Amino acid sequence: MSENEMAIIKPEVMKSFIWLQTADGSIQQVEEEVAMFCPFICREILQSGLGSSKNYAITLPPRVNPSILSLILDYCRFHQVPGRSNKERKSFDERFIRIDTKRLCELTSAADSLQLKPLVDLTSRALARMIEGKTPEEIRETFHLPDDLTEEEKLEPLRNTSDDPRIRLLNRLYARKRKELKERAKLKSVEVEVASVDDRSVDDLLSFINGGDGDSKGIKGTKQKKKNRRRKDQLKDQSSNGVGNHQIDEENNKESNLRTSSQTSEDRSVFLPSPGRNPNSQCIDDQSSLKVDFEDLDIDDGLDPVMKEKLDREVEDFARRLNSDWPERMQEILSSGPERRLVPMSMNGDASMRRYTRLGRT
Amino acid sequence: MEQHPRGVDRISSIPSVLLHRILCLLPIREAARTSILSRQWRYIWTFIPTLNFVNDSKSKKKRKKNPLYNCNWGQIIDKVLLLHNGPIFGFHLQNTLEINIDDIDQWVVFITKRGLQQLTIHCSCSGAPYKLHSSLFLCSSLVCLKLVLCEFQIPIGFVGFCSLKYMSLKHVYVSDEALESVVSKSPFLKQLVLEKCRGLSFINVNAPELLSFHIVGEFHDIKMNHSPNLKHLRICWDYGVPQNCMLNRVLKGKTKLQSLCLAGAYIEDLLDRMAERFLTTYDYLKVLNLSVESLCIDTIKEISFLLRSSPYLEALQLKISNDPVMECEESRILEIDVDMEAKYEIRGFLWKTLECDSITCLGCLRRVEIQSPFTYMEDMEIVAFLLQHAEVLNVLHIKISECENKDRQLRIVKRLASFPRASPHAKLFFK
Repeated sequence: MSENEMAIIKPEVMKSFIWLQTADGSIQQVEEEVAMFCPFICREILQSGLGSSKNYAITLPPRVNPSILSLILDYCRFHQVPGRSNKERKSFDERFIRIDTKRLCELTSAADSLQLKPLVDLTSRALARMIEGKTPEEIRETFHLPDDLTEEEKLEPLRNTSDDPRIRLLNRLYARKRKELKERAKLKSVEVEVASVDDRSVDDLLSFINGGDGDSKGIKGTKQKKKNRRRKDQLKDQSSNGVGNHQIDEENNKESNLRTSSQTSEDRSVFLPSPGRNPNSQCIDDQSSLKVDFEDLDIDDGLDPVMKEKLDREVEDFARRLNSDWPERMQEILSSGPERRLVPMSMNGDASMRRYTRLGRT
Repeated sequence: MEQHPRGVDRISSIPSVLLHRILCLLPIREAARTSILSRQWRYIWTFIPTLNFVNDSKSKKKRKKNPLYNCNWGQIIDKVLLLHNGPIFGFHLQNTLEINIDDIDQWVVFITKRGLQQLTIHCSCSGAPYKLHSSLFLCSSLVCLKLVLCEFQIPIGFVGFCSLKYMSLKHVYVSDEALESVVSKSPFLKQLVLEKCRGLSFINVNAPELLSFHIVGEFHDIKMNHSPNLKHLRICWDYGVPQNCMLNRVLKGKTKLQSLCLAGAYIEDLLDRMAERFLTTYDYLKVLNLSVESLCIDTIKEISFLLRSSPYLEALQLKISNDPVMECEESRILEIDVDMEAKYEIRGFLWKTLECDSITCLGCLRRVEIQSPFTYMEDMEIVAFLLQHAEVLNVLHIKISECENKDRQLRIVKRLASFPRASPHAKLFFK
């Protein structure tokens, strides 16, 4: 456009204003070239012929309040001027979005309702940056979001993914452990049984004692019997009050586990399964030092041998760590006698699983 | 609903479509994490139309901080797709290191039924390339396709991508026939990027709507006879320009060209080999970017012809990567000694070799960037020439490469700064 043409057109351009009405009823006039930068206003002008006078003001969408409108017009005023360098525009944009979060959110919605795409992109990116890399707590604080989810609900996404191979692996490991434990316990119990099922008749005993070298054995047998009886008494005591306590303890323990796992769950990505959520993985939380490298455990039984080997190594490693804990438990379990023996087994297995699922449903 | 102790919720008043758009800008992990923010946010992320599977579990720092970053990426993608609602317009998969290549097939089948428009598959360099699943070639909604390290085989009966506008293939295994087929059957293809693809030698690009073409790599010849609207062309030869490649044949008819970039070893040969002079003028050509190994008189001549056929050129970038040990005549080597200024004079042979009208070609040149070690006189000559004849030149950036000697640099700078300038606004910047 030559200078002469500019001179002719300019006065007209300078004169023309567009009338805009915001949702609160206030009307204001805006330079046409600034207003036309908004596709929404532009369309209203061209299609409905509105905006030319105060009586025919363009009604802006409800999300555009007067203070946000002035912000948006600032943006349009700057960007409608042709010939600005990218650098200039960028630094303007950067300064422009340095406003408080509330206004930034309002601005985003308003820009969207005016179909001002570049501004929507700008503010969306700014908002995305406010979310990226932040903890849920920080995000809630930034946007004043209510923390209205229960811990259970926060963990729900984790439960969706309980079919994780790692969990399966753990389950298998625990199953193996349990089996081992059972076998060992059986072995022990066999010994105990041999001693406990000492229901030889007095006659038998007598004949035994009267026999060649039965003396010492006989004494031993009675000793064992006495021991057995004592153990049974202890057991009765335990079953009357001890077992109850034990269960409560376990419950407490689990609750605290749940709490710790839910605390950390926020730091984890939600779609990642937390081992702590798994019914049988309670021990993981018990052993906080436990760190298993779960990487690449893409197992489905009968996968490629390298993977399997890695897996096996990991299981062994896991087992070793667990074993360091097992002997004590074994002692605990076994010392409580043959009847008591089965209780912790089910506690570790089905009972806890039941409790977890029950908790999950509430 | 519970209120935040410090006031009203700020972000949730934003329309959900916008919230989806905001979450689309985040890597999927970050987006999914928003589900535990509040009740209202629980399922927002499952509606986002663009899924950015940026594998951040590789970051060691994060791994240390949280062992759960050591996760199976493939399974996460499975789960996200399972939980996802609504259409999937964008699917961007970066880094497939921990992914079973076969899984990608399933995802491709899944997403192509959800209105897929933008697809990125960026395979990692270790492991076999991913061979594109045939279902992708039935996806008529595809607009943008970016592939890195994939294998591109066109199934029989491929009818074309009727919406495809952008295609970028980097390190992709693709045959000449496959490329020709996919390009010619995508009638609205606007941008094509081919970078270091394997299997290409005689490239035939038949795309009437093509606006931008960028090719880097090793290949024998390019034929693109049916792209009259081409605006941006960039050709970089990796291993030197092949003998039979003719620049004027490539440029023929591309009168709407706006920017041209030529680079690669022996590009000067290509320029030298121009059988016929440019008869057509490139009235829209504004940016010319040349990367040559050395400037000899013939090359300069050809460059000047290029300049002459682009009268409205605004920016010129010239990169000269003079090999310090070149088998050229001693006389050409620029003598830089103390009394260089006295000895050295612009011989003005450029002025002489060019006809007078060629000077008009610099009428719009505003911006010049020259990178050169300034080993030879020609390098200086061209700077002098440009300064002397570009009347509206604003900025001349000069980078003296491969020169450790500060003293020599200073002398070159002094000399260059002393050249007469046609433009009163011309400023020299040295790097």
